[in-house]
Amino acid sequence: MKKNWTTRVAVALLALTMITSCFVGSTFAKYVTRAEGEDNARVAKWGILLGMEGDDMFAPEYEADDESFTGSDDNDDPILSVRVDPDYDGDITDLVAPGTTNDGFKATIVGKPEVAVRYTLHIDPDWSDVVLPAGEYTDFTKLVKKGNEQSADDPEYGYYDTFTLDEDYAPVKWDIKVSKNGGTPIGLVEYAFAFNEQLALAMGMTRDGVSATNAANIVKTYSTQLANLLLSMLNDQGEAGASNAVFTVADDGTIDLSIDFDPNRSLDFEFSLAWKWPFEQGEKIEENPDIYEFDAADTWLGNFVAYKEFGECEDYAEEFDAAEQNGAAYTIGFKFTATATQID
Amino acid sequence: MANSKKRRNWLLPTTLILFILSVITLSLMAVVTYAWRSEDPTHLLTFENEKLTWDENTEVGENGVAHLSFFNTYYQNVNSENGDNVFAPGTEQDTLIRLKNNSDDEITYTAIAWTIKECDILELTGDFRAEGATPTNNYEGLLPPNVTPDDLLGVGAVTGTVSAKGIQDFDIGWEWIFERGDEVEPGIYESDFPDTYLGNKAAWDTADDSTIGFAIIVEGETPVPTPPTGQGSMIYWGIGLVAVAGIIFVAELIFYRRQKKKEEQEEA
Repeated sequence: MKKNWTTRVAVALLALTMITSCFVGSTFAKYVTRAEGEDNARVAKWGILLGMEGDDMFAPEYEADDESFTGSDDNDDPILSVRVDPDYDGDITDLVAPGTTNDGFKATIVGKPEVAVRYTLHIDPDWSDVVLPAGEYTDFTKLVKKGNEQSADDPEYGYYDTFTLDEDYAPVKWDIKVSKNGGTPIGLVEYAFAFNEQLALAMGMTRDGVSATNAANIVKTYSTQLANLLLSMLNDQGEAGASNAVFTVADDGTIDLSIDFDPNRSLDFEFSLAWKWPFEQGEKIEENPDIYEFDAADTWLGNFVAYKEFGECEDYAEEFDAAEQNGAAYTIGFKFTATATQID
Repeated sequence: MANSKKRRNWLLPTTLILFILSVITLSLMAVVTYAWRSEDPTHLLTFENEKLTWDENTEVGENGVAHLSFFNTYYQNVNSENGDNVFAPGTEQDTLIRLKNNSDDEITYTAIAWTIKECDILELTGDFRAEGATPTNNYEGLLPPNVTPDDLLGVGAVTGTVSAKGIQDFDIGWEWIFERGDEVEPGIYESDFPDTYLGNKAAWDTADDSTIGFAIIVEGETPVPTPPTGQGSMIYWGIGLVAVAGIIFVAELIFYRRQKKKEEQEEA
């Protein structure tokens, strides 16, 4: 019996294995089952508003700063020290002159978009600046006695002295000011001097600002430093999320400033352009009366306009015409465009 | 005695063979083959016990509709202010839904994906792909009440089969192309105007939204086991068979060795 049970069990196992391996269910039931899912989203916010004011960047008249000047008409209020000639019938009635200043141009950006934004200020290539190129010019500040180099026909006293400019002179200086949420504006020039005076001087900045002509050259050479300064100014105003500031000057003279802002940043910035023609520029070279380094250049430019727009100072027409051929200019103007573009 | 010894000599190899056969049978019962894509799915829908079940990370509402992740709150250079899912020009997303057939039988599915946009000028385009599936016009019962055939993505409804323990992937994607149409000015495209309108509307009025959905029906047949003892799977029979065969084989081996030793001692 003992020997038989193992054999029987082995046979039974074999049968079971064969049955199991070919076992197939012989009855089926049909089923149907369903599943569904969905998701929903909305358009991300844009909502950027741009503003620009600049019609009164320059003016036909300016108030006097010198309180000792009272004007001839007691009824004048305010007292003007610069005023366009009422008989002038030319096209350009807005003026700039030594001592004048304005910060009338403002560009604003407001909004809190949910996408990254690139804000760009663009200056068209046909901008112009008041410039007196490097060279030698008649010094109209000094009426001197005729010297040996003058001819016998020349008057005994005349404008026989000259002055020399070693480099181009652009008297009107600019500064970019930035404010957030209507706060106190910070000027780029002041910020640059406070950050690193040596770098600011190396870039060609003066404490009065930077001329448009020099700005173009500064941007070409120091675009990275300028951009970093501007970014610091923006981010110091609190969570601006500003990055990738880029200054560029194209070959055709187009100037662009672009700044990127992160998504979800409260954008409420005002960029203002302030200009001034300092009354006294450069070093004081004489005293009593005080004469400054660029007084002669400013005076020359004033007579240049008198010749070009009013036909005056014709005795020096040859010099004025030659200077104009060489790049001397007495008009200043810009066309700005501001854009805000989503960054992909 | 001689006959007994002869039977004993073949019994050991016989039980060994039976043991091996039972192991093979068990492996045939238990073999599971999956063909996986290297990409992890966003959502996993498992078919098992005649039911479709979403993975544990997928929320299902009380109405049975799952909350899927077709959109996001942030993309490169886009970030929702309040945690809402958003989309914007330049954004896109692809979502992979995987159907896994955990049953022992082949199943048949029919699936659709759709998009509903609140605003006609919203240029959100979508696509629906299922490799190996074929288009079908028979999707009765799949369309939710507010969805029309014009809202379907890709080729529309698709159908196919999934073998036991097999998978089927469904790719659903959308995009809002950044610049579309002609360049009307340097850097300005035709599409910038309606896109800006929609963005400003989202900021100053009510944002337009879009819904993307997915639905699937699975059909199949389930075998009724014989005899109806209540066991749900033959796998346990296989395991039992292996265990018994193994025990028999080991017992026979021990007995065989003892017998041989005894015979050797007797001969000595």
